Amino acid sequence: MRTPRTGVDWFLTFLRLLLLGAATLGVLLFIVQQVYPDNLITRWVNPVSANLTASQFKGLLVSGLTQGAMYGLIALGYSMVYGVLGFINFAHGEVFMAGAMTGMIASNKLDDAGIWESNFLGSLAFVLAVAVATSTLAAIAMEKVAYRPLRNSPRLVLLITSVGMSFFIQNASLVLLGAKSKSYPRAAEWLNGNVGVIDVRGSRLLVIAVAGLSAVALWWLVERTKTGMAMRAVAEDAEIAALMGIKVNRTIVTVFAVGGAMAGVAGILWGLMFRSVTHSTGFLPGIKAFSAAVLGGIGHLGGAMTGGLIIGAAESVGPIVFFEPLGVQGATQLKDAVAFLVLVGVLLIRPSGLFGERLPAEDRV
Amino acid sequence: MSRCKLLLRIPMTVLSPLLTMALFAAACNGDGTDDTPTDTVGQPADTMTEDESREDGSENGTSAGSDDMVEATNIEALFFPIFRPEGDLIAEQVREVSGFENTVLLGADGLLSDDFLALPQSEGMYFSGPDLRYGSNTNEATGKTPEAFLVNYERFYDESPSAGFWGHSYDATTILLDAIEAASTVDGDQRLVIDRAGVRQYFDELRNYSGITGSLSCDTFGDCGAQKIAIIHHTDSNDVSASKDNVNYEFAGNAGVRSDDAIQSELPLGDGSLGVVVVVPGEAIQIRSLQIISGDNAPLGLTNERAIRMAVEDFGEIRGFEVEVGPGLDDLCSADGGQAAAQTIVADERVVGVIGTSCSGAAVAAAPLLTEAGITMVSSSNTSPSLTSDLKGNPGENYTRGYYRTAHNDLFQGEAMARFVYESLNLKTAAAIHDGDPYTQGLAEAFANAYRDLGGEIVQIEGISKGDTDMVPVLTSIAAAS
Amino acid sequence: MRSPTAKRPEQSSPEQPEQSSPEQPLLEMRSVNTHYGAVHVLRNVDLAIYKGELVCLLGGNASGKSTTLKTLLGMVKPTSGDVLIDGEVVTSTSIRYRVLKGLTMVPENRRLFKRLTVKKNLALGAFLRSDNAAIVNDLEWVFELFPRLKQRLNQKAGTLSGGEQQMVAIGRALMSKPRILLMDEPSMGLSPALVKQNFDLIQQIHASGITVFMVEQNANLALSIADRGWVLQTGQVVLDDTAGNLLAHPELRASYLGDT
Ligand SMILES: Nc1ncnc2c1ncn2[C@@H]1O[C@H](COP(=O)(O)OP(=O)(O)O)[C@@H](O)[C@H]1O
Ligand SMILES: [Mg+2]
Repeated sequence: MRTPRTGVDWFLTFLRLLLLGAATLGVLLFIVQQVYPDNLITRWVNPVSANLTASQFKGLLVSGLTQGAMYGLIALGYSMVYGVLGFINFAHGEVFMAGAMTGMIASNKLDDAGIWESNFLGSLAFVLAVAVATSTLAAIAMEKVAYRPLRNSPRLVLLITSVGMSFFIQNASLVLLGAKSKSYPRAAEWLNGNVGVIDVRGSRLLVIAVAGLSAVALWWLVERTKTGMAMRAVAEDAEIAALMGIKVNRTIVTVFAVGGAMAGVAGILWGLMFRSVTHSTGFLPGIKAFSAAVLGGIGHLGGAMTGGLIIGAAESVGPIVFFEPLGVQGATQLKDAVAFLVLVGVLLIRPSGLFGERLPAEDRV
Repeated sequence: MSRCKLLLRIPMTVLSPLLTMALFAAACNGDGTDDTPTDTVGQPADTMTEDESREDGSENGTSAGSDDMVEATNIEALFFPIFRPEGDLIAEQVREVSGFENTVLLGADGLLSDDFLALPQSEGMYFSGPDLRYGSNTNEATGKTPEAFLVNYERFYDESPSAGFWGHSYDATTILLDAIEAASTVDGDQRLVIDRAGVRQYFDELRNYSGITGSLSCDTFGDCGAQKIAIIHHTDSNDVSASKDNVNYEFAGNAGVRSDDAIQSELPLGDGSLGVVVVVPGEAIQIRSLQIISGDNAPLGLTNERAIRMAVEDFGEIRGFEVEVGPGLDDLCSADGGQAAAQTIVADERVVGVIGTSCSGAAVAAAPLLTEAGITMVSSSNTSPSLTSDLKGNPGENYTRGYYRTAHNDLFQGEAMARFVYESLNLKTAAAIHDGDPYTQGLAEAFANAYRDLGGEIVQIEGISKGDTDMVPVLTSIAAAS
Repeated sequence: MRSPTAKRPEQSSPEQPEQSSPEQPLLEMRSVNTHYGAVHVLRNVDLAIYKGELVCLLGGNASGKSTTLKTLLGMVKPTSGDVLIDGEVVTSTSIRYRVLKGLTMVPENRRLFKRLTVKKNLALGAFLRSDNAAIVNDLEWVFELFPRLKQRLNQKAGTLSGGEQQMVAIGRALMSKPRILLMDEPSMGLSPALVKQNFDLIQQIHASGITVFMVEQNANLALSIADRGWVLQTGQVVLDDTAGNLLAHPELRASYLGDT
């Protein structure tokens, strides 16, 4: 049975076509320009637009994927919490920041003691443990203090509480540590040079590898352990999960803890990659990661990771491939816009995200 | 949906568009860096250290450039006169983008703080900034020499100034206090009457004022600074002070449009057109400090504020009236911060003058509000040309009457950097990055224009956004445009 | 109308051969009152179920049948009164504790984990167990009862047909190795043929030694296999008798068995 199309449907279709059209045109122009750098269209539309070499393209892609891997790790936390409690935990970006911040303190302490350089991998493992522990505890504390008392309130109340938590953590960091950006010590030299045949900076490979390992560990936890089974059961139907004998509260705490741990890992990778952290470090990555979680289909973990990679790659590659050929000046400044455009584009075509299943009309926000 | 289909969607959605593009990029421009000729690389100037000289002669002349292909060149110099932490990230990530392997990195006074110089990735960079070698200059109001000032500074604050505009702040303050003195009278009730217009008149007529930073004269659009620029070479992140003294190049600009004749107006100055401020006995003359005193750039503003307080202290009373600065206000280095602080200041009708802002971006919003209220605004570290003039008689787009500064105009700093890169380092292609702030954008453009005038090639001026972390896209865009 | 609420354990189906005349009920409710907020749902409900019985609770819509089961399991806490398992007061214990004591339920509308596979659903039934060998045995038994499930193991539960979902729901409950199985309207939403099958199955499960307490609106069929039953009306037990007597009860015939 078909429902008649309304004006809104036509408008959406029009938007979809517009978006797809612009993207296709951008890519086509990019390809044309790669083949004939000095063609008429390029000269007319944007004479300074980029003509990339393969290694430059690779550089863009790799930098996008590194950034995206971090988004993905953070996105897991948004997605998991949404899965079990049905609200967006806006303070999750600050959980990530807390990990990055304590990692910074720990690594600088190690650096002062001379251990950072002499035993870099050991130090890294230690700092990672510190950051993961902090983020995990922050997430757990947040659940216990702020969200558990509101468990039976409308989801909107939780959402607004999470925005409040986000401000609280940011300001706590501001008061405790000041507004100046603080730096991680420089990573070991072998990470700063380009590595091997693929000629990619070592730290980027490390970021991708650690992110990949963490994602695999999480996958194993969720798919292959009883804890994971409990998490999925609670996510779907907490009452029946309890009927199976699952401790629902404990499982929800576990979800926060695991999401926090992933954010902690992302925090350290952030520190390794970008070195500087401030109290507001969690804001933009948090928003991007949230977008990634929605893009991948909120509640779906593989989707969150994929969404992160897509957003990271899109904001890195997109401006140069889509916008410069279309004649936009200073396109790289539009990278945030590109990230959200990709999100809008995906949602226009698949409203529940790439991997998302349409959720029953429950009380979720 | 089956699991298999779901699994398939990952590679389909992520990889296929990227792979297609990568294949095209590879197929059409396949041999990567090989077709980027390096034959334009000039001989390094003698100021450069050995390890920086580029001798990839093997690659010379291997250009595969067919006729229809735009010849790519390596970018020899990259000027990013921005702030922290974005500056940290550019310095860190620039080497991994192909096309920047040997690029000389250049920064300006926005990055010239001890914190930034202590970062390993800032090693090897050149920085332009105010020439801090003040020798035995003497401030004519207080008789203080730079040396005496620094001794005092260290005694009060237990450290040496961590940013460069202390001398400008000191001079700005004594000139403002001199101006207040010249524009005021004590009336029959022993009250001090300050003519607001007279304060400005003092600045307008200022010629060859002897300050710590040199000889100051104000031009028609408020540029009063000594305009001396120095470029330092930073070689060792463990020895910041050595780098600060390692001056490779110096430049002195000629001030803008003004008559150089000393003007002898009768005291007290002022025609009352902006009203008066009356200070009753026992009260203090009110001036304010508006600087960046929080966040990453706080070293700049805190140093300025301290110098302001020291100048007030050294200057002493004006006609028997004390001068009060009040608590330091924060310009947050942003338009919003400047506007908020200015609104606080104008609410107090007793305020005669403001020393500030630190950042040009904040001044753009603060100057109209302050000057409209009859307050005289003197900045010791704004350098954006838009706040004063193009030095050719045309006011900048953000110029307002009543705004003065003792810092240099970035047209000089840009020209100094351009000349240094083109003439001393002998580099002929350059690019610049700004972050959208009037200071960074103005300086990047001043550099680019001066560099082009000298005959150099500016590959691209690109903008980033504050808060950006991944600099590879912007750098790639520049590399690809070359 | 006042119901006969007096407890008469000795009255419990002596004609049933497998009944082992126990001293104390396996599961018991003593003058339980349950509220949802201000809404008073269960009013002084007394129930006693003995080991090996197959008993049923009848009642119209919104009479409080599901609430009775939820109160027994601890999914809802009574405002007064007690729930006892083997004579032990468990009123304030967790669901988990009661599941460990041998209680389980096939909930109303089945409530499968629709996004998980059949295999995971069954595994969740055995969540509290660690006797792996026995779990495997029980799984085999479930497959014996429902051979269809074996082919559907890796399919998401949400994609199954209604009848198959019912099988998973029962299988999941059996995987916890229950002593007493509570079933909330197991024939709801099933075709008449499936309803018949379903009741056969319940008897089969009962015959394997599991005590069964089912809630039904289909009183005729339920009473045809049950030993005893209660009738609930607006939260009160109005009838408490053997299946035969209930079937013959005129009032019940009028209101629940569709006789006019
Ligand atoms: N969670 C709840 N909150 C409030 N009222 C409820 C809730 N669940 C059930 N009720 C009310 O309790 C009464 C009994 O419900 P229930 O036990 O589900 O009846 P039955 O299973 O016999 O149809 C009904 O009036 C119902 O509306
Ligand atoms: Mg019911």
